Amino acid sequence: MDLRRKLTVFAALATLGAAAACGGSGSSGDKSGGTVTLSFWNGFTGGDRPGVEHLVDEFNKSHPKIHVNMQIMPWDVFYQKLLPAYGAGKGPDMTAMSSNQVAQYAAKRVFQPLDDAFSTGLDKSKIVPGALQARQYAGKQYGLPANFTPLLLYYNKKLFKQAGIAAPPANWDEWIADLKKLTKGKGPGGKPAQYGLTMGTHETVEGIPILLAGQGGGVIADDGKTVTLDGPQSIQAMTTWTNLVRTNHVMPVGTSGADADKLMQSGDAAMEINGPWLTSSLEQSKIDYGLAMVPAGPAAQTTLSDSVQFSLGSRATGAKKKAAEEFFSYWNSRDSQIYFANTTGFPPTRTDIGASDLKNPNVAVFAKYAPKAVPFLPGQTKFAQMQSEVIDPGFEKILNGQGDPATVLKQSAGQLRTLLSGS
Amino acid sequence: MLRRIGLYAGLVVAVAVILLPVVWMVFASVKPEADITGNPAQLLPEHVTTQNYREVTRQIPFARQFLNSVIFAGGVTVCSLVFNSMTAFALARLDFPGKRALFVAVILFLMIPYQVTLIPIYQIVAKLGLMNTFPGLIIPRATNAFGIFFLRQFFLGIPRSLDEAARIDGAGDWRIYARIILPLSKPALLTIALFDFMFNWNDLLWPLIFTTSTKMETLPAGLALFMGQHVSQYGVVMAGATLTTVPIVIAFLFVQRKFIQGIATTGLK
Amino acid sequence: MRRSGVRARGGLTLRARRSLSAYGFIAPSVIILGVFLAWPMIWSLRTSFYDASQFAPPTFVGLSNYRKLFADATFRGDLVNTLVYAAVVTPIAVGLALVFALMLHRRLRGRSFFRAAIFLPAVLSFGVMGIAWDFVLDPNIGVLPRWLQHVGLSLGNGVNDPSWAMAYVMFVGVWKNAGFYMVMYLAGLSTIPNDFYEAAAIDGAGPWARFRHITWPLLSNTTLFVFVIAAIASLQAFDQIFVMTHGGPFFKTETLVYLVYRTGFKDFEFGYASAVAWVLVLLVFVISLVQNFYFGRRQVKY
Repeated sequence: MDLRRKLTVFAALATLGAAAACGGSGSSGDKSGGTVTLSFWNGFTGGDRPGVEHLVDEFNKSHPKIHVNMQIMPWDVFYQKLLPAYGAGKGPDMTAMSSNQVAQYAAKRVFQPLDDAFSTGLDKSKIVPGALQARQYAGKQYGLPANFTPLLLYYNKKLFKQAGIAAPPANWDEWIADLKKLTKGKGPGGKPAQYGLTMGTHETVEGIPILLAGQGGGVIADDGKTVTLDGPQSIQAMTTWTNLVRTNHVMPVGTSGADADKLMQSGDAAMEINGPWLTSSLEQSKIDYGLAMVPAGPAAQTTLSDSVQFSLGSRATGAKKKAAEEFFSYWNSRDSQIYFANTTGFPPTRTDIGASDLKNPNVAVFAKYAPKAVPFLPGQTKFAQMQSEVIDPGFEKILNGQGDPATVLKQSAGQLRTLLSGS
Repeated sequence: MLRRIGLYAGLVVAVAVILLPVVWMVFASVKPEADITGNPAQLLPEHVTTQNYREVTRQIPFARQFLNSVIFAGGVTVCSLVFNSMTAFALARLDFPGKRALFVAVILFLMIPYQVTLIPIYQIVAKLGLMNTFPGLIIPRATNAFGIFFLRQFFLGIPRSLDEAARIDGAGDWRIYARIILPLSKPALLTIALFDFMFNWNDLLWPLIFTTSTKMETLPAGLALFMGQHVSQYGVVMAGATLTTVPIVIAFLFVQRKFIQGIATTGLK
Repeated sequence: MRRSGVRARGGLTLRARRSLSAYGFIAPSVIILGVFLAWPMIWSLRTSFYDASQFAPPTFVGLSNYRKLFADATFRGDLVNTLVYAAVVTPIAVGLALVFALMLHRRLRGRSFFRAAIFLPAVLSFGVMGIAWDFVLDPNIGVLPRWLQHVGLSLGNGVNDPSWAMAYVMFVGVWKNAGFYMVMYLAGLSTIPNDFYEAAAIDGAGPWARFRHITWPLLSNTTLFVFVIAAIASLQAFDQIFVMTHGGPFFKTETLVYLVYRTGFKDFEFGYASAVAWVLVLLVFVISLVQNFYFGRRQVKY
C-alpha cells in the first residue's frame, strides 16, 4: 500500500513535470506571421541589465516584424554554453561578448563579417574609432560595439584632501609622490590600513599594461605579431612599479577586480584604475570621488579600453542578417546611446553625443577620453590563453616577488611568441 | 563535568567558524548596500532594511523561478530516488550476469568530471529534441552513480534474514524491495534525497545550459542576474540566497532526527 | 555478492527468471547511465586522441595529446596540486566528520542545532558562499582578519598569497563536506549495539580503549565508504576554486578538473581537455582500488 501510494505520487509528479515541460517548450516558432525571431545571448547582468532590457523591449515594440529573444546569464555560464551550443549548431543568432574574445570565435568561423552593416544604416564615421578597431579580425569587422569605454583613474577626494593633495596627479612623478603620501597606517597583518592604489590583477580589465605603455613599452605591438613585453621599456616600467608595490606597499598584491573595488568602496584605497561600472558602486557607498585621465608616463599618456561587442552567428543569413543589422543600427543610434549612457553609466559609442546630453557628469568624463583609449591585444585568436595563462600569472609572480621583472617578463614573452607562432 | 564543558566549547567554536559565512549572508541581506561594501569589517547590521528582499521579488519573477526550481530539483530527486534504489537493490540483493561489470561502471561513473561530459550530453539532449524542456533538464540526471553507490552500501547493511524470511513466505523481488528494503532505508533515502535536491536546487550551470527561454529559468539563474561582471548587488544576492536557503534549513531540522536515529535499526554497517 | 550462488538452486529456468527480474530493476538506470554517462565517457575517450575544438571536424592525432600533457609543466603542477589537495583534505574532512559524529552521537542539549549547523554547508550554494567567504576572509578588509588583528594574529595576504592560497581553498573544501560525512558516521555509530559499551565499561575500559577496540573497528565499513567518497570528491575539487581563486595566483590552486575546464571551455582544446580528464579518471580509479585493497586486507567485508 505504501509503495503504491508512492508510485501514484511519483506518476502524478512525472505527469506534472511533463505537462509543465510541454507548456514551456513552445517557443521555437521561427517565422510566425512573417516575424523574424533573433535569439540573442549575452552576459549583461548586474547594473547593465535594466538598460539593456529596456532597449531590447523598445526595439521589439518599434519593429513589429522582428522579435529579439534575449537571454541574459552570467558571463562564465555564457561562455560555457556557447561552446556546446555552436558545436551542435544550436547557437544563438546574436551574441554580445567581450571584444577580446571575438577573434577566437571568428577564427573558428562561428561568426560572420559585419561590414555590410555600414551600408545599411550604421554610420561608420559617427562611431568611436577604438570601438570598431577592437573587434576586427583578418581585416574584417566581426563585431559592432554594444559599449566601449576607456579605463580612467578614480580618486577618493576625501583622502586626497586629508593628505593635502589638491588635484589628481597629471604625470608619474606626481602620481608616485601622491601614492606614497596616501599609503599609511597599520592594517591586518602589518600591512597598510590605507592603500594609495588598488588594481585587480586577475579576473578583470588589465591595468598593468597601461603602466607599461606609459613608459613606452607594452605587451604585443600594434602589428599584432611583435612581442614587446620583454622590451627594455616594459622591464623598466615593471621594475618601477614592482618596487612601489613591494617596498612602499602602495598597492595590495594579487587582488581580483571585485576585491580591488571593495577596497575603493570601503574608503581604504585612494585610487583605482577602472571602467564606468564603478561609479554607481562608489555612489552607493557614499564615496566622494573624482575621475581623471591615467597620469602621463615618461613616454606617453594612454589608457586601455574595455568593450562589449555584438556578433552575428554565421548561420544567421538572409532575413535574420537584415534584422540583426537593423538592431545594430538601432542600438548605436543617437537616441539609444543617450539612453544607454544615462542608465548604465557607459559612455556613448558615438562621437556626436555631447556632455549636454548626458545627465551624469562622470559619464561625460569617460566620453571625453574615449578617443584616447586603445583596445588590449585586438584580433588575437588566443587572447584567453595569453591573458589567463601567460600575462596575468606573470605579472602576479613579479608582484609577489617570485622572480625579478626582467626574468619573468622574458619568460612570459617567450610563451607569447610560442602562442603567436602557433596561431 | 569538565569534559562536558570542553565538549561544548569545542562544538561552539567549530559551529561559530562553520556558520560565519552563513551569518554574514543573513546579516548582509538586511544591510543597505552602502554598509556591506562601505564597512566590510562590521559583521552586525547597523541599519536594518527590508529593501533587498523587496528588490528580489520586484526585479525577478521569484514565484515562477521558485516553481521551476521545485519542478527541476524535485523531478530529479524523485526520479533518481526510484531508479537509484531499484538499481542499488539489484546490486545488493539480486544475482545476474553483468552485475560486477555494472558495479565497476558505477564506480567509474563517479569519477568523471562533468566538464568533460557536458558537450556530448548537450548533443544528445539536442538530438532528442529535449532542449528547453523539463524532461531535457531532468532525464539526464534521473539516475546518478553516487546515489546508486550510496544506497547499495546501505542495503548491504540490512540483515539478509529479513528478506530470506519473506522469500520463504513467497514474496517476489518487487515485494521485498517495496515492503522490506525501502521502508527500512527511509533514513538513507531521506539523506540522499536531501543531497540530490540541494545539489540541483543550487545548480546554476545545468539549467541555464539546457534552456533558452527566460520562462524556464530557475532561482540560481535569477539570482545570478544581480551579480554583474564587475559590480554586484551583494545585498540583493544575499537576500535571494537567504530566501532560497531558509526552507531547506527548516526541512533539515524537521527530518534530521528521524533520518539519523532511524538508521539505528538497519542502516550503514 | 558472492553469496548469491547459494540461493540459485532451482536450476536454469529459475536463474533465468531471477536474472530477468533483476534486469527489470536496473533497466531505467542502465538506459539513462548508458546514454548520458557511458556514451559521453566513450566520446571523451575518443576525443582525447583527436585535435578537437568543437567547431571544426576533429583530426586524429594519436597519443599526441597525452604526450603533450606529460611535457606540460602546468599539467604536472596541477597534478601535484590535485594530489596534495586530496591527501590533505580527505583525511581532515573524514577525521573531523568522525570527531563531530562522536561528539554529537551522545545525548546533548542543542544536539539538533549542532548537527544542522555542521551539515548546513553541504546544502548551501558555492556561488553564494564563495562571495560570503570572500568578504569574510578578505585579507585587507575582511571580518576575520580584522578580528584576528585585535588578538595579534595575522592572516598575511590571505587567499591572495601564493603560499597560502591552497590552504584557504582546502579549508573551504573541508568546510563544505565534513558535515555530510558526519551524517554518515552518525548513521554508522547508531548501528553499534549499546551492550558492547556496557560490557566494556564493566571490564573497566577507558574512553580511548572503548574507541580503539569497539567504535573504530565496528565503523570500518563506514570509514571505507566515507573515505572513498571523500577521496573522489577531493580529487575532483573545482567549485570553490572557480569561485575563490580561479586557480591563481599563478596556478598555485589549479587542479586537474580546473585544467579540464580551462583548456576545454576557454582555449577550445577539447582533445587535450579530454586527455587530462582521462588521466584524472584513471588516477581516481587506481586510488580507490588501492583503498579497497588496503581496507579489504584488514578483514572488512565490502
